[in-house]
Amino acid sequence: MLKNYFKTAWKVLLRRKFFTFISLFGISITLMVLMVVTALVNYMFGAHAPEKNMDRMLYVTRLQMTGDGTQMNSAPSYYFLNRFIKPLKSPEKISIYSNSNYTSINFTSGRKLEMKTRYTDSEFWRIMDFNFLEGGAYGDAAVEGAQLVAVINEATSLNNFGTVKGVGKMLELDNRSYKVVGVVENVSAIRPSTYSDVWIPYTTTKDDLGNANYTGSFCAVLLARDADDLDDIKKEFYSTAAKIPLMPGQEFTELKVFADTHLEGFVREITASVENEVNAGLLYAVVFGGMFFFMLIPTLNLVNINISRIMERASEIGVRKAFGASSNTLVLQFLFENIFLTILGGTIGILLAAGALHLINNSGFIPYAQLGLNLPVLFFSLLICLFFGVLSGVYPAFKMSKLHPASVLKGGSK
Amino acid sequence: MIKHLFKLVWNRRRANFLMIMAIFFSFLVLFGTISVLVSSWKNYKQPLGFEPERIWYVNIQHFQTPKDEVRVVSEQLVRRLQTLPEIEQVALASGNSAYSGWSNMSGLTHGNLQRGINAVTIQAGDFKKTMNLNLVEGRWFQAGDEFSNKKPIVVTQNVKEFFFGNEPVAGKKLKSGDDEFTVIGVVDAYRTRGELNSDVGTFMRISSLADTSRLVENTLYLRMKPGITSGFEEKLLKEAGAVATGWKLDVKPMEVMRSSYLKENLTPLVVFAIICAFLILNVALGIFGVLWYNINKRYSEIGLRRALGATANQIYRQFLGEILVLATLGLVLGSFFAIQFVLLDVMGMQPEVYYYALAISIVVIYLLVIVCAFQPSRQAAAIHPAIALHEE
Repeated sequence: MLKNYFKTAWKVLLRRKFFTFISLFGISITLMVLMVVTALVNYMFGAHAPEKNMDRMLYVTRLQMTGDGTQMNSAPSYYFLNRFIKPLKSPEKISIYSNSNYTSINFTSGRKLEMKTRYTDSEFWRIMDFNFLEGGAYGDAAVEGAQLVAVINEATSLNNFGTVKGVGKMLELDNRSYKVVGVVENVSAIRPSTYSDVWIPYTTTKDDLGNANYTGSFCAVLLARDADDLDDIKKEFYSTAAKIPLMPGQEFTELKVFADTHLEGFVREITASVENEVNAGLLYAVVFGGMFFFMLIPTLNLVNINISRIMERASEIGVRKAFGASSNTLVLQFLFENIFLTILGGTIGILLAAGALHLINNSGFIPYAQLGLNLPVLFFSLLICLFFGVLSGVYPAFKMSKLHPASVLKGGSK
Repeated sequence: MIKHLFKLVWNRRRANFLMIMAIFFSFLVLFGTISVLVSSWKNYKQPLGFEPERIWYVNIQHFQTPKDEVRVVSEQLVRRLQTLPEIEQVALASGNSAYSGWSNMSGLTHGNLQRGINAVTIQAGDFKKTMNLNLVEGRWFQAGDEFSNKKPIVVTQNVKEFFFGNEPVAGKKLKSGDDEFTVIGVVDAYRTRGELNSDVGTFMRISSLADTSRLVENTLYLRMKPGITSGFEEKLLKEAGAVATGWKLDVKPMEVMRSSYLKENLTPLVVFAIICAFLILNVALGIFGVLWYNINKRYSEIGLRRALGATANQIYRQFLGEILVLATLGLVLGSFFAIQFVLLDVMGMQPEVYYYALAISIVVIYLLVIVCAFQPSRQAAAIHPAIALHEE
């Protein structure tokens, strides 16, 4: 039975090559775009190294202070995080580290090398799962002793030493020599909470960390024991935050600080929300709404073409009906054919998407991006294909099944 | 004739409805994309007001240097850099220039008029010569202005037009909170949000490094002599390091900042345009296919009309007319929604942008359907009545 359906579907595809081309072109391009978007979203928000435990993490990245007509948005300072956030009881681990706005410069080789640099504590390495190619992280002793040690990524090691085996070499950063203790795999720039070229102990900074200024360039990550604990941590976080005294010597009247999951943080960034809870569902609604709208045009197009194609087969349908095939059988057959077509288009789409992703990776457009089609992406693509196939096949199939055998066989297909 | 075409379309309303919907959605997507493109293009065509080509943008970090010392050393640093033969002009000012990603908006008022404007503070050196600003009215700052209690400012042309229309600005006042500024001059433009974003306008004020009530600005603008390459940077840092020990200078040629700004801002535009083009191509192919099929199906109808004396040209015009009626219906529906967008100002652009976009989208859709209908209609016109009726 299924084999017959395949045969028919294949023959129909070959009969009108131009229509087949139009259908496949529309399907494959649409699915390609959707797959690239899916891969990008997965890469941005999925839990993979170094943020493998993302479902247990909360990030504190933003501090907002408002006063009479003025508002200040900034990253918090080390002082602020260390004094008010670090003492929280409910998280398993808390790390304080700088955001990646800091650029170190190295002139030793005669050319200028710019490296994004992050100051971290030792807890950072226990929370994040970096893939070490060589060596390891620096520990508590190195951070407390303000030792000049550094963990660098693959690209930095290659640029500076011409090899990925940089451990033990000395790295010049802003005229100071750091000893490389570990080399990690590159982390892409679209992972804003971990991306960097160089990681060094925060105690080696020239900035005055004891300065009682609340605003600065640090952030904190809170690791829960269990994903279910996130709500408890948030509760403790916000009740603590409500008690933080206002920044001395400034005319602000209100202070807000937020603990968000990666996704919530992203939504907060776009919506500029100052509520304690942001609605990440909104993002889903926008993304799925956008995808649906994007699929609408090719779907309408496919419905149009399908109706034309199916009416061409009116006499075939008439014969099948006359020999006793029920409407349901015919609807199923046509849906099957359409899904077959969609999956064919989807396969081409996957190839195109793989090409497009390869192009994006190689263009260096997103530093160190390694976008790819992994299992979740492929699974989601298959879902999109099925959805697309059913959506564009239902109406024509329904229309077809309504045809009356007698009138069709007589020759009038209207 | 037209009434007749509408009747033909109406008779096949079920089949045509889907075509109209396809045209309608394509039109909306096209309208949205073209609005953004037109808006960016209009912004791009406006003058920038300064020349980024030879300017280096230097961000300074003072670390733990005491504040009084920062004032003295900054002054020395500007003077030292001014003497270097590679550097034409130096200015110390706030960092909110184009491509820097910083903004510092202040609300200015005059009577009932109010507007948020980017505030640039100049602290040392000659900012006008460094950025090569073009003064069109009044005068630039002169010695003594930094201590004047009139608080002189220079504004850009669009700020002047917003508050004072065509009147001369001499002696005009603008308020910002409790401060009252006196406008002394107008420059044609100084766009701080880059060429692809709209111009909010800028006003410049001057302050002295000796004025302890104000923070020390931490951005140096260097205008290099022609032909100076990035190789000079190492020497520059060495020279600066001799005066300002322990400070960190982050040097970026403005051209480099500009190209990364353009990359960031053009990519979404290009991606949207490409996706939109594919969607439209998709729809065009679909329309072509459906028309082609319809004409094959209406073979006998065409044969009969030809036999009754219709010329090939009339048949051709009928099919073209039918598709134009379909497109018009889709466009009327689409324009209705598009105008709601304009009235609600969803995308926050100037109204004329929407009208341009509306006109361009309508023309593109008409062209598209005409191109798609061309070949099938010709095919219809070429049908020979004898053969068509014979088959029937």
